[in-house]
Amino acid sequence: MRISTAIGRLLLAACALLAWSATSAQNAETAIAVIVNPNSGVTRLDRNDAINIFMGRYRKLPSGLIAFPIDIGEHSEERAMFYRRLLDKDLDDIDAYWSRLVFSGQTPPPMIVPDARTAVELVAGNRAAIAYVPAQAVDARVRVVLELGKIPP
Amino acid sequence: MRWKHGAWMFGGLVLTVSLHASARDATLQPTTLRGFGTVGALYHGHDDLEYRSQIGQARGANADEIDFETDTVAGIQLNGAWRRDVDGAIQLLTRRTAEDRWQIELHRAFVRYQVSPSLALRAGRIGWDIYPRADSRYIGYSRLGIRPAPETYGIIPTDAVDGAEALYTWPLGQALLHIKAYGGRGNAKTVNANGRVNNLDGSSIWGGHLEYVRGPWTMRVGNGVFLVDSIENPTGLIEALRQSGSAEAQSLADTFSENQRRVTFFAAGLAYDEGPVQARAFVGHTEGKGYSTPQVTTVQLIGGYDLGRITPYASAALMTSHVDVKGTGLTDTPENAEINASAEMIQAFNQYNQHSLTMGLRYNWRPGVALKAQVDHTWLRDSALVFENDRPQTGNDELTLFGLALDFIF
Repeated sequence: MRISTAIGRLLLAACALLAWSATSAQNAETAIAVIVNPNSGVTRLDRNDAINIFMGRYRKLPSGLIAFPIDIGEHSEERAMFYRRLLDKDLDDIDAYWSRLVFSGQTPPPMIVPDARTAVELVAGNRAAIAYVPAQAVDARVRVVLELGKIPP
Repeated sequence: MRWKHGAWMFGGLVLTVSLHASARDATLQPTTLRGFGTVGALYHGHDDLEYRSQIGQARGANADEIDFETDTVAGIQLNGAWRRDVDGAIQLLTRRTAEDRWQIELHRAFVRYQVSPSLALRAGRIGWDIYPRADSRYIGYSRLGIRPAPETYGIIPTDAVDGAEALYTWPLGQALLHIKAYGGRGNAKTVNANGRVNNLDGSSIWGGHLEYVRGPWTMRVGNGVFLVDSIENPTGLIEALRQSGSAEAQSLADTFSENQRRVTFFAAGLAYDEGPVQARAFVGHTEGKGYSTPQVTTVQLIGGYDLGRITPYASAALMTSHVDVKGTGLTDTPENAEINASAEMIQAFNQYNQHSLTMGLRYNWRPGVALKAQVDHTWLRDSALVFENDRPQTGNDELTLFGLALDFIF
C-alpha cells in the first residue's frame, strides 16, 4: 500500500509539473499587446514610452493626452508577463517600486482592473486609457500600438 | 499645537468622504486603504552603547537585548481621486518618537493636481525627499536593506513638509528631466543624548532638485535648506562663559548665542536599475550656520542582485563631521570643570563620525511580504547618533549589529 501510495503521489507530482511546464511554455509563447483607444491619436508606442507611462515617470501619450494606464489584477499572470517583458522585473520588484512611490505620495500607480476583458472595455470607452492584454483578447474596439513578444529562451 | 492636528484630521475627514463619493466613477482610481510596516528585531553586544538609526529617536538598541523598536514602524494610507487629474492621500504612521512613545501621527495629507502631462502640483503635508528616497525612509518593503543607512539619512530631521511643491517633467529624446521645487514648514523633533528634545516645529524648508532619467540610469542633484529659529539657547552656560574672561570662552559664548540655525543640504546621486541588478551611489553634504547644526559629508554605496525570490545586497556608508569641538581656554580646575564639560558636550551633540559595512539577504516570501536578515559592522568616532551612558558616543569604537525584519505592504 505504501509503495503504491508513493508511486501515486509521484505520478501526481509529475502530472502537476508537466501541467505547470505546459502553462509556462504557453505563457512564454503568448504575445502581450499594449492597446489604446482608436481615437487617442496614437498609432504606435515605443518601449520607452510604455515604461514611462506604466512606471509613472511621464504619463503622456504621443498625441499629447495625459495617459490613463491600466494594470490587470495585482497578482495576475498577465501583469507578471507584462513587466517581465517590459523591464525584466518580477512582480515583487514592481510592487517594491510602487510601494515607494505610493506611500511617499509621489505618483499614483496604474488603475487595477480584474481581467483583460474589463481592460479592453475601459480602453474602448476612454481616449486616454492604455492597457496591456494577451494578444488573443484584442478586438476591433481597441488599437494595438506595441507588442511585447515571446520571452527569449 | 492641538488645533493644528484637529484641522488636519478634519481635512482628512472631508477628504475621506468626498473620495468615497467619487469612487462611483469607474474610470477613477477607486478609494483604497493601503498599509505598510516593518517588524524589526535588532541585537548587538556592545556594553554601554545605545544604537539609534536617526536623530529623531529618543532611545536606541541596548547591548544584549533584542530591540524591537529601532526598526519597527507601521502606517496606513487612504488614497483616492476626485477627478482623473486630481487625487489625494492621508497617511497615519506610528514609530518610536522623540518622546519615546508610540503615538499615531498624521504623516501625509495632500492633494495633487496633474495640470498637464509635464506639470504636477502637490499641496498639504507632503514628503521631503531632500536626499533620494528620504521621503520613503519608513517604507521597508520598498528597499533592499532593513533600515535606511543612518550615516546618510540619520541626521535628516524630518521627512515631511507642510507646504507645496511643483514637479515639471521635460522629455529630452529618450531621456526625462524632472525639475522639482518645494517650500513650506517642517515639524520635527530631535533628541540629544542627555534626553533633551529639540522641538523644530515651524522650521522653514525650501529647495529643489534636478533628476535626469535615461533607461536604467537615474542621476540627481539637489539642494535644500532647513531653517530653525526656535531652539532654546543654553543661557546659563553662555553667561558663565562670558564671565570667565577667556577669549576662547567668549567666542564660544557668541557662537552659542546665535538664535538662528540654518542647515543647507547638497545632494548628488546616481542609480542603476535594470533586470536583476540595482545599484546606487550617493554623496551628501550639509553646511550649518549656528552651533546646533550638523556639518557633515555622507557617502553611500549600495547594490543588490535579484536571484529570484532572494536578493543578496551589500552597502557601505559613512558620515564625517567638519567642525571640531573647541575648548573654552579655561584651565581644567574643579571650578571650571562644569563649564568645560557642558561646553564640550553641547558641541559633541553635533559630531557625527561613523561608517559601516552592511551585508544582507532579502527574501520575497509572498506577494507583499519580505523577510530580511542583515549584519552591519559600524565604526564610531565621536558620533551623536549613538549614545554612550547618556552622552554622545566619544572616542573610537565599533559594534556589530544583527537585524531581522519582516516588511509588508497591503
